[in-house]
Amino acid sequence: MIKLEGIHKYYGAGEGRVKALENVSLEIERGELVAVIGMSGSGKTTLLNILGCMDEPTEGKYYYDDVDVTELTPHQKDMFRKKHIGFVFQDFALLPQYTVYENIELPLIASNVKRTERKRLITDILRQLGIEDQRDKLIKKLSGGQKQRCAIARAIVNGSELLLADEPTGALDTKNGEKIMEIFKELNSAGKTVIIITHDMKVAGTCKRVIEIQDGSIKRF
Amino acid sequence: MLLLRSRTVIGLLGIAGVACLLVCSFGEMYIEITYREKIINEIISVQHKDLFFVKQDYISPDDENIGERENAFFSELSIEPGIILSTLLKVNDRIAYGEDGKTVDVYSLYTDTEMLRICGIKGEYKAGDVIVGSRLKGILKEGERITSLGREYTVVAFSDENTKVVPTSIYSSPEVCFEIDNALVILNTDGVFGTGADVYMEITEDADLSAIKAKIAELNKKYNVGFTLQNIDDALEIIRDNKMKSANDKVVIVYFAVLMAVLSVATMNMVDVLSNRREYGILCSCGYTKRDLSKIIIIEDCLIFVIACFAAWTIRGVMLQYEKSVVKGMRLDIHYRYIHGYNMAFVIFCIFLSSISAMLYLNRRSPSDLMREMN
Ligand SMILES: Nc1ncnc2c1ncn2[C@@H]1O[C@H](COP(=O)(O)OP(=O)(O)OP(=O)(O)O)[C@@H](O)[C@H]1O
Ligand SMILES: [Mg+2]
Repeated sequence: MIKLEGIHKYYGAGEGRVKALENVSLEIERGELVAVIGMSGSGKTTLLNILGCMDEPTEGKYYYDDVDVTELTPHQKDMFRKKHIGFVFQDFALLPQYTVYENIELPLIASNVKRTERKRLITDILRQLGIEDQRDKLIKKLSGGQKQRCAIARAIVNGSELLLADEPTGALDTKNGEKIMEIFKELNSAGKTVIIITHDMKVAGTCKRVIEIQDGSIKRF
Repeated sequence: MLLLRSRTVIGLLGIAGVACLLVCSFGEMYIEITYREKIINEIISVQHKDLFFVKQDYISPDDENIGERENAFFSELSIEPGIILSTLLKVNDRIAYGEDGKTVDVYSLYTDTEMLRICGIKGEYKAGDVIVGSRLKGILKEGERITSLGREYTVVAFSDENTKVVPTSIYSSPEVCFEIDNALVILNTDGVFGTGADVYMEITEDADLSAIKAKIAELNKKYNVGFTLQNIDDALEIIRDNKMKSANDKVVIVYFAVLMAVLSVATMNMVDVLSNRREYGILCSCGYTKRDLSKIIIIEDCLIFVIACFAAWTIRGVMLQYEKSVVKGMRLDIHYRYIHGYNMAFVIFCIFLSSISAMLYLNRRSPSDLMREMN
């Protein structure tokens, strides 16, 4: 499903150029649950950003279902992200001045889903993640675990098949972190491809496959 | 739905409001230009080669006995105010002028507080009231309604036999007042001839113009006044120049002001985008495309401009209503008739102009870059 070939990513140019990824090649199959581990600054987030079309590689090829993503126009990349990708971030990246419902509504509005359909989808997803009673609460009034559930709901409400999570348990205590990991596993067994960045070896240990990045290169598959 | 930028919307509204007021005044300017252009053409159509006039070159005399000095000037020049055109025309007569026989309605129309004072008329007056030259006393009656060039006027009084000075008012109509009576032909295009009197005279064919000019110059010095002898062609040139100049000045000012307003709105847009970078980045991560974001910016700007335009239009309307109640004028309505297409196109252009920088900023950055807080 995903195939990276010789991906390089550098930030900046000239003397101040920073290497983030160097010659990364890997393949991920549909339905996999992958953990990406590595030291801080090793390039994990950069890799995720490239996979989610949030950033462009300096060099190399990225194929998604045989589509050469690196060859797409900026707008096509935007559309690709809209259609296939769901993001979950360590700091949740929710809009604090809006409610849970409104935050989850965002991707649906972006995809022009009708209001009644939006309502149905969001109600379903809220129930699935066990936060239906938080529906109309402002984000700032939620606990960390609830926020991350909301963020996951937003990432999957649109039916995206690839879930990219950047340290989703990083800001949570162990108990909440485990619960969130349970959700990811459930989503994975329901057919979604999930890639999770983590520092926590225990979290990584529960994943079927672990990729370790060191200093911008892949060390272990 | 979600107004991401609700924080700045109020500020934007304020500035856009100013912008749109300016836009509206721009529209008015446009009216003025086209309308005046028409007048100038009308004047041209009544060109009368043999019509000369002694033009007063100063605007408002600051000493009190100027009137006396002017009278002395004219009596010594042997132009008796009051006997210039020998033909007696009726209001509403249609006369042909020029070689191509273009026609114009003759009407005598002018009211002004100053005029009332000069004519010794007391009491209230309304715009639309006319004081008719005394020679028409036999033809028109006080209180009679006359129609001229599609307008209706009420005769309220007759001017004195020796009326000479007809100042213009700040709300004077821009029509050419071709009062062919009682020594005065008032080409009433305000500001052009100054606010004083222009005395028109018919000069016999064999008259020595340079001699008359010399005499005028001499008398100017003597009585400390400032008159020049001009042919109507020269006058028309001056009218055109002055009109275009003043219109152009206004246009430049309005352009500049609108430009400043657009710049301010653009700046506000940029401030918004910069301070909400992360929010825009988050929207990208949720599936919003850059085009969606551009659309949000454009739509919000449209909304702001439309509201502000409506506000400006209303404010202008209220102002006009007030002006109307003060001057009881009639041509103030013109504002409403012209306030469409042209202005709308201009507003759309302004919206585009003020949105573009923010849109470019967003489009040039990757979503991950946007999501990163600026340091
Ligand atoms: N926008 C950027 N500009 C310059 N350098 C960057 C930028 N983003 C990342 N880097 C650099 O690229 C390298 C990889 O960064 P990345 O964020 O991918 O690391 P990471 O593995 O996610 O680290 P962490 O575990 O701390 O999140 C780092 O050296 C970092 O300093
Ligand atoms: Mg990271």
